[in-house]
Amino acid sequence: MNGTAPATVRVLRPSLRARLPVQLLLPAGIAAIVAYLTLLPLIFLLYGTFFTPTVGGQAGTFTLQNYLRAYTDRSALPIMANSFVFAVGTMVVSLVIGTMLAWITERTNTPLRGLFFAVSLVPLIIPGILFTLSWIFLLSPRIGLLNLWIMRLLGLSAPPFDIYSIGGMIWVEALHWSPIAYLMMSAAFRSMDPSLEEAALMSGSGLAGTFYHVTLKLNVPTLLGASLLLFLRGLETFEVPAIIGLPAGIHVFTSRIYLAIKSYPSDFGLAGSYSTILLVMTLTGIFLYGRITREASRFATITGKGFRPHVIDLGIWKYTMATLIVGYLAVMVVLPMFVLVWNSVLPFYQRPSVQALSMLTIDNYTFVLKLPKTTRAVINSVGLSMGSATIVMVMTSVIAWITVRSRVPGRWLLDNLTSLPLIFPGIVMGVALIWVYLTLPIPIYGTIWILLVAYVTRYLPYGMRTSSAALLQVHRELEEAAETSGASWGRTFRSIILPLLQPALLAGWIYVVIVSIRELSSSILLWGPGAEVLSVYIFDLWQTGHPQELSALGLMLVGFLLVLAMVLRALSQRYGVQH
Amino acid sequence: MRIGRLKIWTAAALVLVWALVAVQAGATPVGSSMAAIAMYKGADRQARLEAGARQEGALMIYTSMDLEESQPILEVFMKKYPYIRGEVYRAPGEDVAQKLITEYRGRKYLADVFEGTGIDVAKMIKETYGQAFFTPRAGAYPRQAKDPKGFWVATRYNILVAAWNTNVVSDADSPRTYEDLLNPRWRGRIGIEATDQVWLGTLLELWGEAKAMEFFRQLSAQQPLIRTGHTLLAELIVAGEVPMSPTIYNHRSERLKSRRAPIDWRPLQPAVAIPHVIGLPNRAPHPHAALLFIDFLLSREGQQELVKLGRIPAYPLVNAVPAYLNQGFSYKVIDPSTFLDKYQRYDALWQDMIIRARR
Repeated sequence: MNGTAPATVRVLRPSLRARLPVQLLLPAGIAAIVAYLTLLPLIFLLYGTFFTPTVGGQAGTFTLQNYLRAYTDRSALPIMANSFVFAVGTMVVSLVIGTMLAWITERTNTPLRGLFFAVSLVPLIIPGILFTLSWIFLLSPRIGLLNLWIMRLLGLSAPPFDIYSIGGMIWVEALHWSPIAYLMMSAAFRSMDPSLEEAALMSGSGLAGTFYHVTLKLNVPTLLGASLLLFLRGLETFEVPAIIGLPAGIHVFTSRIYLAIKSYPSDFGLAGSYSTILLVMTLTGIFLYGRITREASRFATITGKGFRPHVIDLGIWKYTMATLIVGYLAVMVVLPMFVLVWNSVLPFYQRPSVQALSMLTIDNYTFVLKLPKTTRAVINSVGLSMGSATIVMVMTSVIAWITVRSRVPGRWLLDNLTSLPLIFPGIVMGVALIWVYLTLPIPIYGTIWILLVAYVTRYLPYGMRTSSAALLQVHRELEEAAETSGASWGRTFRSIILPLLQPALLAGWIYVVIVSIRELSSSILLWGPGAEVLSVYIFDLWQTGHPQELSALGLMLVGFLLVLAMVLRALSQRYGVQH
Repeated sequence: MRIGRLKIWTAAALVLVWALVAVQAGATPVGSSMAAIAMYKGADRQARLEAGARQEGALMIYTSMDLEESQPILEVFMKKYPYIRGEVYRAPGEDVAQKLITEYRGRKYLADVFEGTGIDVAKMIKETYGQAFFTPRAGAYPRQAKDPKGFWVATRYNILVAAWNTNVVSDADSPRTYEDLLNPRWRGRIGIEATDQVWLGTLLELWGEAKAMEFFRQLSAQQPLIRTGHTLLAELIVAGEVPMSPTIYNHRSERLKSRRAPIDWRPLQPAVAIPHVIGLPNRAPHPHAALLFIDFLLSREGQQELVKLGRIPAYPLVNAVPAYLNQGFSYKVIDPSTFLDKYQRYDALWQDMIIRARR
C-alpha cells in the first residue's frame, strides 16, 4: 500500500465525477453479464420442465406431470434423506478437519506447518474417481489393505471397516473436500487480528476456549460460506455415490437426476423438476446465510488498526499438533498415493506380495505418454482452468463489493443471481448450455469457449462465497479513509480492497482452478474434437478399463499440479501483500 | 503494487491470446442429396465416393469404441484414403447418442458416422435422424447382423459371460448354467453390472415372461454386488473384490487372463451378445467419406483390424482371436429396435429387481 494521498482540494472534483458513473455503470454491467451467464440456462431448464420428452421427432407436449412426480414421489423420500445425511456429514467432517488444520497451520507455531500447504492440496488434485478407488482398495471388507493390516495386527477375525456404508461415503467425500475447507478457513485466519486472541488468552481463557469463543466466532461468515458450499457439493456430487453408494445400496438425489437423463428417451423435464428442489434448498441456504451475516461489521476483523498476525505459542503441545498434521497427511496423501503408485506399476491389481513384485512394469506410463491427444488435453485443461479461475475471481470480487458494500438497489438480486448456478448439477448445466448455444446464434458449441462459459458459470457461486465472506471481514473504515483522502472508487478498489482480499482471492482462485480441472459432468457433454480436456480423458480411461494406466496418468498430473501450486505460492509470497 | 498489477495484465493478455489460438470453426451442414449418395448402387460407386470424399477432405466419427482401438483403425483408414482427415469423438454410447440427438434438435450437424451399441444407434434412427444406406459389404453379413430397412450393419459383438477369480473360486465350483447362479453358495458373491438391462431383456425374450421373472426374482434374493462398468467389474474380479460375475465381456476377461491375471470365464448358454453397429446420420456433412469408412469397417480388412485389437468381429468370414471367443457356444443377439421399444419396461424391472434389491 504505497499509494499516498494526493493533495486534497485539487483531486476532489474529478474524483466525484469519476465515482458516479462507475458506481452506477459497473453494477449494471456486471449484473447484465451475470444474468446472461446464469439466467439463460435456468430459463431453458425451467421451460423444459413443462414438456414431455421429445421422441421419434414428435415434439413434447405441455405438462405439469414432471412437477407432480418430482414433488409427490414417495419413494424419493428415503433418497432425499440419504442425500441430506451424506451432504451434512460431508460438510461437518470436512469442516472440522479443515478448520483444525487451518488453525494449526495459520495461528500456531506448530513445526512442519510450512510444508503442509502444498501437500494438503494433493488430494484435491487426485481425480475423484481415483481417490474413491484408492479408498476402496484401502477399506473394502474383502480386499482393503488397511482392513487386512489391522486384522493381522490385532488378530481380528472380521474386517474393522466397511467402506460400503454411509459412513464410508462420508469419510471419502469429506476427506476429499477437507482441503477446500482448509483453504477457505486458513485464508480467513491469516488475515485476522491476533490481538483478540491474545486478549482472550491474557484474560485466562484456555486455548480451546479462545479458539471457540474468539477465533471461530469471528470467522462465522467464512465458516458459514464454507458450510453452504460443502453442503451443496455434497448434494451435487456424483462420483462417490456412484462408486461406493451404488454397491452399498445407498441411493442419493443426484442419481435420480442422472437416471432421468440417462434413460431413453431422456427426460430432461423430470430432471429439471428435480433440480428445482435443489433450487429451493440452495435459495434457503443463501437466505439464511444472508440473515446471519447481515450485520456485517460484527465480523470485521480487518480494521484500520495496524497489526501483524502473530502466532500462538503452543508450548509442548506443538509436537502433538505436528503429529496430527503428519497423521492427516498420512491418511490423506500417503495411503491413497501408495495405492495409486502400486497400481500404476502393475499389469492388473494385486495385493502387495513377493509374487506381485516380479510383475512390476512401466508400461502404463509409456502407454499414457504415447496416447494421442494427451498433450492437447493438458494444454486445454490448464488454460481453461486458469482462465476461468481468473475470470471468476475478478468478477466475484467486484460483485462481492457491490453486494456487501454498496447501497445499489437490488444488490441482493445480484447475490442470488450469482449463486443460481449452485442449483445445477453438472450434467443438467451441460444439457442446458447445449440448448442455449444451439438455439442462440453464438457459434461456440463444441469449442473450448463453451467449456469456458460452463466453468465460469458453474464456479461463480464458489468465487462469490470466498470473496463476499472475505470482504465482510474488511472493515469499511479502510475504504472510508481512502475516500476521504480523495482516492477514486477504482483506486480504492485496486489499492485497498484487492490487496486485503488477496489471501482469500488466491484461495478462491486455486479452488476454481482445481475444480475446473476436475470438472467432469458438464464437460463430458460439452467437449468436442479439438476441445479435449483432462477430466473427460481420465474418465474415458476409467470407463474403457485402464485403471492402471489411469493411475499412472493421475500421478503425473498430481506431480505437475503440485509444482504449479508451489510456484504460485512462491509468486504470491513475493508479489503479494506482506503481512 | 505496480509490478503486481502489471503481472496481472500480462497474465490476462496471455490467457486471451491462448483463447484466440484455441478457437475452432464449426462444420457446416449440407443439403438434400443425402439419400441419393447413400443409396447409390452403380458400378462407379467407389470412384464417385472417392471423388466426393476428396472434396470433403474430412470425416467425423462418433463412437463408443475405445480411443485405444478407434484411433488405430482410423489410422489404417486414413492410410488408405490419405486425403481424408479423420477425427474421433469417443464417449460412452448413451452419451454419444444423446449428444447427436441434442445437436440435431439444435440443427447442428457434425457427425458423419455413428458406431455404437445397436441400442444407441437405434435411438438416433427412432428420432428420425438416421439414413438408410447401401454398402456392398453388407451382403456377406448374416440376416441378424443388419437392419432389414438398411439403417445399420453390425460391426462387432460384446458377449456377456460368467467370469470368476481363480484364486477364490475353483473350477468345479464355477457356474456352468444360469441356474447355477441361484445356488446358495453365491449368496452375496455375484457381481452384476449396473446398466445391463439388455441382459434382462434378452433373457426375457428368450425364456418367456414366467421363467425369466422367476429367475431374476431368485437372483435378486442372492443379494448381488452392483458395480458400474464392465471393465471395472472384470478388474474387481481380478483384484478379489468380486468373486464372480455373469455380466463380463469375454474379450475383456480373455485379455486379462492372457496377462496372467487370476481370472477365467465360461459362457452360460445361450449367452447374451450386445451388438455394436454402424449407422449414418441423415445430415452427415461428409457423406462420401462416411460411406467409405462404413465400407472399410465392414470389409475383411477393417474387421481384421478389430480382431487385432482383441475384439469380436461381426463378419462371419473373419475369426475372432482366439476363435473360442464366439465359437463353440450359442449366443443370442437382441434386435436393437425391439429392445428400445420396450426399454422403459425393462429398465423399471431392472431397477426394481436388481439395483434396489438390497439387504
